[in-house]
Amino acid sequence: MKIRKLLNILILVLVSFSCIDEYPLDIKSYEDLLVVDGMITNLPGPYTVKLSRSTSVEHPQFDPVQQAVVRIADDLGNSEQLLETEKGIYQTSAGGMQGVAGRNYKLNIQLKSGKQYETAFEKLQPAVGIDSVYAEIESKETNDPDDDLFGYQFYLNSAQPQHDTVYYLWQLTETYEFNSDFTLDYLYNGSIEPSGDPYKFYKCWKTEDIHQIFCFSTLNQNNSVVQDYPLNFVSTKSKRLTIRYSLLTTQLSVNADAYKFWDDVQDQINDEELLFDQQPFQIRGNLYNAEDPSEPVMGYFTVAGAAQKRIFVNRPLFVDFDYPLCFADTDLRTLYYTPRRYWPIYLTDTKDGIAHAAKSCFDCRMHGGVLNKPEFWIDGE
Amino acid sequence: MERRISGNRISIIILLILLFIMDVKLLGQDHVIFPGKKLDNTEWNDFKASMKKAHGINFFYLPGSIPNVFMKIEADTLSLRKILANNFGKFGIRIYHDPAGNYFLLKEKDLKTSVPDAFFKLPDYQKETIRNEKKLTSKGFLETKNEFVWQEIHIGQKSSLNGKEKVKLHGKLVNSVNKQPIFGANLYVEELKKGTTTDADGKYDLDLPPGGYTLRVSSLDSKELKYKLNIYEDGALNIELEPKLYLLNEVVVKSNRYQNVRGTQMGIEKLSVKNIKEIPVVLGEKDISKVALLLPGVQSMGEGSSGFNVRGSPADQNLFYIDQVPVYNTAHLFGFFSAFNSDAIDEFTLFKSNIPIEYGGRLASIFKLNAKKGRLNKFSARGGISPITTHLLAEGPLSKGKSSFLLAARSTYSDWLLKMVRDPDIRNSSAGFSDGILNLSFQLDKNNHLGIFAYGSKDRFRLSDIFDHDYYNLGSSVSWRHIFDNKHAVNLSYVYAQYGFSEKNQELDLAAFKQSFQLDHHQFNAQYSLKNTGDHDIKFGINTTYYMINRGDYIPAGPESSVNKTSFEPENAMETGIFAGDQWQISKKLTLEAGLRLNYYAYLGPHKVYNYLPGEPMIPENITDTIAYGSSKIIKSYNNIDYRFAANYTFNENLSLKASFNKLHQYIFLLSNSITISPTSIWKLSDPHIRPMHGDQFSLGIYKNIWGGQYELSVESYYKKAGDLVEYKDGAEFTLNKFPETDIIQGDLDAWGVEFMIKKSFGTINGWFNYTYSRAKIKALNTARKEENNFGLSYPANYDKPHALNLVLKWELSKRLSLSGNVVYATGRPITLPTAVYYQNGMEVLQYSLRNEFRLPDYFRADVSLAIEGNLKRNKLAHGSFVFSVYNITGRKNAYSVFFESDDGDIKAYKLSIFGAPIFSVSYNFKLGNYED
Repeated sequence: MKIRKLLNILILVLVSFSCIDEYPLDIKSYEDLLVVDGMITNLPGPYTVKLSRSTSVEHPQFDPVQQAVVRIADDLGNSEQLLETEKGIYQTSAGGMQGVAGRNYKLNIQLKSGKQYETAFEKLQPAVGIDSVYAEIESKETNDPDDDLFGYQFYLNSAQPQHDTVYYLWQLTETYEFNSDFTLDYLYNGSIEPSGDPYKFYKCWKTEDIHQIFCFSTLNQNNSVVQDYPLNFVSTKSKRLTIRYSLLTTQLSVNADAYKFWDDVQDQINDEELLFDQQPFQIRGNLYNAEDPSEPVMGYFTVAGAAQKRIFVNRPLFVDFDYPLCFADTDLRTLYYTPRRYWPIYLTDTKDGIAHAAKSCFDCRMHGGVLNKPEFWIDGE
Repeated sequence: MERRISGNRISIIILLILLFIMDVKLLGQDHVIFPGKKLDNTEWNDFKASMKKAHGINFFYLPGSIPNVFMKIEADTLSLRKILANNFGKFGIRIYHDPAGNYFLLKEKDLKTSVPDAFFKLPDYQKETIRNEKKLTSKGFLETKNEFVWQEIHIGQKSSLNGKEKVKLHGKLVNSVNKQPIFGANLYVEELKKGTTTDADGKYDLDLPPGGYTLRVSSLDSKELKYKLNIYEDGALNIELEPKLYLLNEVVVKSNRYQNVRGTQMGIEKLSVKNIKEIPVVLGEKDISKVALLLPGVQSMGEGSSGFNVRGSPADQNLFYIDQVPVYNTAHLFGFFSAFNSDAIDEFTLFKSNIPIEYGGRLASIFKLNAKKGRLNKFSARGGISPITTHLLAEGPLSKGKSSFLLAARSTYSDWLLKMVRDPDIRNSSAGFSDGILNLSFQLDKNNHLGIFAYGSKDRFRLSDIFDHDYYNLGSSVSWRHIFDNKHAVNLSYVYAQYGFSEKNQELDLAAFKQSFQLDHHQFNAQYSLKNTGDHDIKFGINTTYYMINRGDYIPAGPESSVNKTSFEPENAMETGIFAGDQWQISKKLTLEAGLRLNYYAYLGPHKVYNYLPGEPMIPENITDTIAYGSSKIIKSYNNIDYRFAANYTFNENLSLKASFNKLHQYIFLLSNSITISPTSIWKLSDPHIRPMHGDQFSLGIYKNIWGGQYELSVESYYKKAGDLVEYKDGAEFTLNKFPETDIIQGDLDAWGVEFMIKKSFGTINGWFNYTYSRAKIKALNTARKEENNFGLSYPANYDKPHALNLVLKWELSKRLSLSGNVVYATGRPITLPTAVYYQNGMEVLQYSLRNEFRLPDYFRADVSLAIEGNLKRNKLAHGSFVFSVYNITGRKNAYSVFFESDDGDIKAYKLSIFGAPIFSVSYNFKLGNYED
């Protein structure tokens, strides 16, 4: 067969590939089950236990369980009742109970309906220190071959454990300094006036928990130290790295059951092997109905040894940032048509003259920031 | 009808050509006729008319060459040829005839100069039994297509009986084109409702009371032949069957007509590669085992998943044989294609209910693929190209007429497909496969046959720099067959098979690892078959298999990896089955079949075995002690009995009722915790903690042929129960588990179903339609060890698809053009769906339903293909053909799976469709020689 013929055949072949579409779910069962989410560590309290009910997949929300009697007890007979500080959120008092490594703790809940739930006593594992957390500039490929993500990848090295700790969880909290897009140079209240302090809402710090599970077991490692474990990745597609960024890592030493729970949860969240996906299954936590152990109760009350480390990184050099910026409109005629209730209108100086934009472009608080520098914050050089 | 031949040379030539085409032997037995005294002294013309009327005998001669004599008939002359010779010999006229009852009266000189020497030459295998031997070819009726004109076969004369009550008919069936023996052809005596099938060498024998019968001969890919058989002495009847594919002018193709109704076998599906040539397939890659999915009772998890689920059983309960070599991973590219090059496959048989007694070790089915044997007469080659692969095959004689070779190879060049995908990980990946077959066949002498067979397949897969996975199958067999007295046969064979994979995972540098797996299978088989000892067909024998499984070491990959090197202990075991079976024809209507198979299984050292606290879950925390066993030490043995019972009651030649009941055991299974068979699934042997699986199946079926056998109808129902099914504990992780029993729970499978099938296997439009209703449920609860899956509740198996419907049609528009289509419908497979959301540590977590509580949307697909053959010229170097096909012509986005992504608080469900649009493809095939070759 001639080569040309062969090519013709290949050209003739119009191959189309697999596709992914949204799929509507309509399942009503399985809602309204009790969910617990709480922890006690060796770090000072207050400790929080959240009680809620499960909600539908389409409309997920936190549905608090109120007016329950929640109590943490240890194996020496000490206990403390937690107080409901917000709806469904129960906390120990500020100077109250503090976990001690080696002791056993349990959670006891009595609902308004009188139903009793509890966990078994679980041992608080000794904490293992964090040797270091560091960041490296890395790139990640995306679905667009011409558009890679750049940013900081954070890594962790743990300290040598003093005991036979093998199961680790990490919780991350990020704080970053950022600026508004524009300085607030003028205000419009029927007329344009200088604002007095252009930097009033310009500089903020924002703190957020990173909602990702990081867990690792050294059970099958020849080294009981966790080395170069990859934590989160922060790209230059947001303002996070524009000035200075801080990561607080809490390293939790847990028992095998807690590790399995979090590992299972992580597997179910991150199961990306589309073709060979694992059999999903119902995960039940460590809380159970004292009278009817078959009742599904979700969530986990974690008893863990904890150690923390905070690091700071400055804006990465030689990396392009690419995040959306506000548009400043120099056509001020619209100001006259803007209803009074939107006054004052914020204005900024641009090279093309005075321009107006949305308030959130001037006020960093509207992006979740606070104007006061956090106590732990250390400025960079 | 009498044909006169006009008197010129051309007619002589035509007559001779006719004789030649018919390939009849002029030495055959004479017609035994009793012309009776009243024909004595009649005129030739009257005699001729009377013979035609009374016996259907035609006379051929040149008009004017035969004088109109008065026929003298001596009182003691019974042979028509003798009568004719006596009367015409003096005129220099020779008498020839063929078994069909045609008599040729020729002047001596005409024949002498024209008939080639080879005309009377006999093939070697016929020489010894020449006295009572017939050789027939289906071409005998090339010119007389009326199927009601039967060929008549006379073996012996009534006078030669000597009071014998039984005579034996034996012989060999070969393909008229390539002279290959035909295996599994049916010979059926209508009047006795009795028949037999040919063995692997195409040989058969049949005991009959002397008399006159109607004999039907058919095979899967030949047209049916019908003969009038008059047998009074032992004799041989060798038949050449013309393969269907090569029929150029025949309009009606009859095959397989009564096989459905006859025979005790049930739950058996046969396909030949020729039958499936035009069935549309994904990307034009002809794939015989994928066609199995269009048969009733056979399902898969979805497109692109390897493995078949036969009658509600998991995929590891099937055993695939290519020739005698077991294949442990039958998937290429993880299941999109099968590991068999259909070019080199002759036919494929699926036993899904009453597995023949010589096979054991799997509960659900045996998939048997017979590789082609090389041609004995001349060299030939063929090949083809599809969007995915190129393939080549060469075959030919090593020693003409005696031994042959066949070599086939296939390889991909499919990486270009991956380059078109957007995902960077896939874009930077590569995937490919190749496979090959070598088949050598040596007919040492009349009674000895030696076969050497080798098979290999290899897959390589690389997902970016994250994941590397290679796997392969290797296998070879040596088999020897000896036949005693044309009657009994002994088969000996040694089989070696290997399956292995190696994997490298670098998703996380810190935990990068390499691991490999290897399974070695050594098998020895001996089988003795006693054919036609009265009404019995008896076979007995032994199979012994030695398994060696090496899970390899789990070792760090790369300098940054800090995984612990973990060594896994190899496993060794021996499985022996001693079997005996008998098929007994009790009466014309009732046939029984029974078989017994004694299994002995031993799990052998060296190996360490953990003991667990009795009454507690088998988890590492409950280990009490460890016992180390030495080399070859029997750690644990199991003795079990398999049995098979089957019965066929034939009401008439068009209606029968069959029932079967059997029990099987299985000692090796696949460990996998993913829904489909994942590439890292490993085979595991039964051990002291994991008991062998066992299964019982009861089937009942009604088989009916209607409209003269044009349509075959069948309804089969089954109930199956499997115990000690190996299920995986929720969330099990096998890669690193040295003690798989801690991740396993043994449960029970209940499956039942009804299969309806209508089949039309010949005609311009042919094909089949089937509908199956079936269920399969699993319960995994071990109260003794407080272990359970799904909280101890029964759940549908992953492949439980209650309604399944398949339609396969082929329309032969012309000799060179045919249109084919499939329609497939099935209930969506069960899935476990997230049903609620809750929060943990600020994260949304999905709460899943009970196992397989919900279902995917129903599956529907329609495919078409158009096959165009090259010209039908007789003299050409090579013949080519194109197949254009469209897979999933409606473009329906069938859901393969549903998955969820949690994106900034929004949980969205997505369905993945693997072939979510029509897929066009073109494949080209060629071969040396013309269309018929």
